[in-house]
Amino acid sequence: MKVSEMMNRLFGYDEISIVGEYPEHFLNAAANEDAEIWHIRRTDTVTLTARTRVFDRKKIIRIAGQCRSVRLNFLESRGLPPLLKRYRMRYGLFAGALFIALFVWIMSCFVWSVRISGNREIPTEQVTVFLENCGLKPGSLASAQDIGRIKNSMMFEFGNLAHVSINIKGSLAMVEITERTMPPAIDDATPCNIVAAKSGQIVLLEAYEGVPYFKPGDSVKQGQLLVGGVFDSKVVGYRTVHASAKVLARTKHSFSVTGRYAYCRTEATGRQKQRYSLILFGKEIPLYISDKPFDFWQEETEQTDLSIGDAVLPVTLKKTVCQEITQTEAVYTKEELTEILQKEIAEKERISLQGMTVEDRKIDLSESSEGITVESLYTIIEEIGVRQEIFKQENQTEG
Amino acid sequence: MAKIKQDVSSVVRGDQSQIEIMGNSRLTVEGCLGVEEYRPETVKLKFKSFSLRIFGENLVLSNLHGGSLMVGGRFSGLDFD
Repeated sequence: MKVSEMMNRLFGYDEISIVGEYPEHFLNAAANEDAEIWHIRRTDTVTLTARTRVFDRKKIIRIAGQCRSVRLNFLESRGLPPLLKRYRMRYGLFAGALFIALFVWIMSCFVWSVRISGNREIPTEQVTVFLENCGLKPGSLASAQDIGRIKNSMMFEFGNLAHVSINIKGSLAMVEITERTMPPAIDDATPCNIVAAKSGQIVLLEAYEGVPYFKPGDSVKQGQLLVGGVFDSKVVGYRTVHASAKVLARTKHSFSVTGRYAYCRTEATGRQKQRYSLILFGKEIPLYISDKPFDFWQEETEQTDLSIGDAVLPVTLKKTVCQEITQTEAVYTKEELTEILQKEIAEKERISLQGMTVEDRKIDLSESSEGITVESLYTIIEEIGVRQEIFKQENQTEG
Repeated sequence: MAKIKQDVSSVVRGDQSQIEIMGNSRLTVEGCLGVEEYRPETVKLKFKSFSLRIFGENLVLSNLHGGSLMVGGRFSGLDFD
């Protein structure tokens, strides 16, 4: 809607017709009297229609009276003033509007929604509970919040915060958190060995600190010492170091998945029903009557906080879309089941062997009357060295 | 500079008319003394020292207020008398 149209609706206007042999007289007289006329159309040889302001009505009538050759007809009044005039005796409407405005104003004095953003490592639930303990929660009075105190408490409580900002806009409290980027932990000088985390064949062993006990091509078992953190010397005795090494080894991995030919197939029929409910102060008020929409169905829900401008109301509209489904017994073919299981194996491989080099992959299928088992064997190259602290034993001699 | 000042002040005082035409569909005038004739195919406007006749189709008048007026429609010709 254009601004001019909006203003016309706000101030109201009359739709008039001017009938006469020379209606231009009336137009000129009205223009000279500063009466606003627009949307002038000629409907036939003797009739013009136009729009004038509601508050110019008396002036228009007077001008029409002066122009004797024309006859003025008021066709229709539009806009807000005629509407208010029409309903001026309906006190209930005005009382209702006043009540709603008052209700919205009172509700806007409270915090109805707390939105937390920016947190990466600190769980939102933890922040929510802390804010609730500080008094910032849905239903609390917005003006009673001591924002500075809450911010300081948060900084003190959560040690890894760089910045916290709390803004209450209408009924919405926005808590923006910036977490500190912690510096990487410095490798300490605790004496330690490097041991094998898994059994395998050494492919590469680069000892940066410590004494290597294996060379590429050797086989190691889980827990075996790969690089020692103890230097032994006949002259000065032993000294311990913080062993550091890169140890790559060839190891074996396997995954297995089993699937059955028979399964329950779920299909959407295309029929769906939408259900709405209101959540008011934590209580759900259903806006529907029937209990079960279909025999079998699946639901998708969406919740929207109702608001007027920035004022978030304590009412949440919950929309549930129920889609009817049918469940039938079905059977996979061998090819279909194999494909599904291979996809599962590929997904397991993607997650478990992330960042590792797969040197060889062997997939075995074993079939039974009920289903198929897919087993995959991998040969991979991975880092197997892990640090193990050296504990010193104090030898005490009894004297 | 003095001439420009004189022209501007005369427009402001309403001594002179101002006609602005946008394409062939909208014409805005200032300093119009009145509408002499209005039909959907022609509009005749009266100014202090001349008259302007606009020819076209589906001509409509709008925003008639004081000495200003807007004519819309599909213009085919203008004639100054």
